[in-house]
Amino acid sequence: MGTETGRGTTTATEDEDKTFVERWASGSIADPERTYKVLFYIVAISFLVTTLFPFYWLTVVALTPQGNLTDVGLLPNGFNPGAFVEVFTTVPFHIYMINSVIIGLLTTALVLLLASLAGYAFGRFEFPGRTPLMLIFLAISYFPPAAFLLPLFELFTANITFFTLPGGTEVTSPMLFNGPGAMVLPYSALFLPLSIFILTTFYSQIPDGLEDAARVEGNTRLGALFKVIMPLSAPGVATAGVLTFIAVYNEYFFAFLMTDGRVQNWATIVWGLLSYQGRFQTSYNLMAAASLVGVIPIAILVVIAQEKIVSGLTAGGLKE
Amino acid sequence: MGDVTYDDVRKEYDDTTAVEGLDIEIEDGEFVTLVGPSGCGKSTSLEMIAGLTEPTSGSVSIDGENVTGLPPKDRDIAMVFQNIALFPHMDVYDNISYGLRLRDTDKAEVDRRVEEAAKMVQMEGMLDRMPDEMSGGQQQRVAIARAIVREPAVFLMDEPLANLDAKLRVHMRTQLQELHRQLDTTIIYVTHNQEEAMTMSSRIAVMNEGKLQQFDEPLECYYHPTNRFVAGFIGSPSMNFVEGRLTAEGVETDHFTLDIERELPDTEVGQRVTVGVRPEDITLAAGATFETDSGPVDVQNENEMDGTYSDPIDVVTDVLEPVGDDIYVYTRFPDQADRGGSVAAAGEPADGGTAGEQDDGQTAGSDAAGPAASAEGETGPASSDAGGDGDSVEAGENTGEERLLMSIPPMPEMSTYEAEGQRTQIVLNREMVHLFDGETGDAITHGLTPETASDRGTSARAESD
Repeated sequence: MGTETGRGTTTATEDEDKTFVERWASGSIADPERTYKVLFYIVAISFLVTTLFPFYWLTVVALTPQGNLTDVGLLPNGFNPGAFVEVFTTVPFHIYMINSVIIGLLTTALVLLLASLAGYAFGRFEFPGRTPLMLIFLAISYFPPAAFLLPLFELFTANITFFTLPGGTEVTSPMLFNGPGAMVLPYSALFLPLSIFILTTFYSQIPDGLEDAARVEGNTRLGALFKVIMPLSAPGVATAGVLTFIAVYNEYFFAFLMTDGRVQNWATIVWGLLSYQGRFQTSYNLMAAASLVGVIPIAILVVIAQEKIVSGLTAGGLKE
Repeated sequence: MGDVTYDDVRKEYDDTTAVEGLDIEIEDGEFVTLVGPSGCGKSTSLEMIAGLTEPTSGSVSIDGENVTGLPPKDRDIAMVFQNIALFPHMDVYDNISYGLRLRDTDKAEVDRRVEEAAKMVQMEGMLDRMPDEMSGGQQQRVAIARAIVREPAVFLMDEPLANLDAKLRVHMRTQLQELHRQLDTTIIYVTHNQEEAMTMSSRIAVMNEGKLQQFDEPLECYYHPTNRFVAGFIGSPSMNFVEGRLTAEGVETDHFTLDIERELPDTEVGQRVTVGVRPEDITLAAGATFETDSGPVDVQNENEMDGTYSDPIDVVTDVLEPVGDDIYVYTRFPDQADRGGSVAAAGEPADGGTAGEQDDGQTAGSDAAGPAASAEGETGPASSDAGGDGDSVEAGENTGEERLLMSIPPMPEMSTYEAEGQRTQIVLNREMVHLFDGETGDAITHGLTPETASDRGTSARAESD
């Protein structure tokens, strides 16, 4: 290494008439750290630009008054902060948001409950077929949601007859369309595998002695799971919960198809945004403003839970 | 009440049998220790009382009630774990009161009992500490408080002191015994440490390879071990074993013979046996000394010499370990090297088996006398007339494996280093020599001297147990 650096500097001083690129190249060979630093800044800046520019541009559009929406450049054509109030007056956007949050919370609760039970079994027991079963879960989580849509739609709109009772009454699937169940159930199924994986890792790390102690003290296995194992896996539970909530809140496909879009029928933010699109004109500035408002809950959640998520995601791999 | 019974309990895991044919009856208020090497099934046995493991067959009863299939919460037990297992997310008060709160005990009652339990383990005033703010000893005391606060019929303790440092362990041992006296509840204790088992228990159950070896009072296990395993496991340093055969007069090994002066039923001459003798039952022979720079050191206490001792046995000291109140002397039987490279042994017929008569030994001894004399001139006055071991040096037999560990009183003025590598003579206390069957390892007799009334009394009691 020492000799290499020496050779690098001598060539640099000897050939001062070399081009910039040549000098840069030989300098980089002598000191690779310099190149890494430059590359880091290039990657970091391009990443920030690609992720943050849409937000900037949304802000620009939102602040541009309704009449000046053609030819929007990098700066707003005028200044109209009133759009952020208008989004709630023209459409009950806050109700759409509440719908989204409620459906997100319901799904999260259901997923955490089921994934805890599954994670307990996968993480703390050796049983035949454990690994194949885990792999099946993993595979299902990557299935395209569209594949489930038609059967689920039929099922949730009470179009499927399970069987006919002797009296002639037909037992059909429940009518869940336009209700929270039509979204919570498919979401839970889709996002469950990820949570199962996270919780399996965490629950398997809780020492057997603690569970034994809880059971000797008077818990059932379930009691030990919810009173001892879950609290001790708090980072993992928080990570699984937050990831599930964000995924549900951001979901488009089922949110768009499992309700007719009226706010009283549990329509979510997706429908809220689309409702600024009128028959004759589309209020792009309101749409942009509503999009920014819609991001706020997730931003808050991530800021609050950030520490737990980071420790959860890293601890999963590091703990023994 | 807290009597616990194992009835023919068997526990199998996939391909191994952890516990087999376990029959133990533990009386109420007893302090019973399950002891054995790791993997002997002692922890599994304890977990079957706790309900954390279900036996494959057989039944476990607590207070006369068959609890084999019941979950832990429905058995009147409390347990202290090796890894302490305090709930890390709860403070001391919450940890101790956990079981009571699960049972919806009245708040004032919980407070009173937690207070009481904390006082018993001297942890008052620390109720709002978190487990990770406490030392190992304090944590274990909290764990014990968590167990006693529920006033169970049986305490189960799975190596509770194993993770503590040596000094604290001895201290906690005393505390546990005191606790047992105060509570007067059955305690079943698991340890691999025979010293803990000996000092704390009213009875100990020695286990090996999933089977119960002996269930008796500690000293009974010490003085009358039922088999070779118990004899070797109980006692520290452990018993010396030498392989030998029964003869008409007694027992002979490759290195020495011992007279037997009592009837041994169900034995025959020529049967393979194992001679077992504890280090403290070996002493230097009359007149035998260690030679040091400041002259010979005589450690022999003449008063102890009487008919119960064996004939002197030639040995070479290997290593001496002064441990304070005793000196452990590792000795081995002399071989060619110790005779100054004698070729006499090579000239002997290499049988070493039945030819181990006194006369043969004499011949071998005289054959070796020339070269050995010079070696002895340096190493001390160990005499060559003991005989009985001359024929033992034969090709192919690993005599180096057979060693005797002797425990002798300390001699402050003696340098243990200088006493190493010397020839000397030792005698065995025949009153305390055990014989075990060479095949099964079962005890044949404890003591070779004529049987006394106390011997018979104890053995009769052991059988009735």
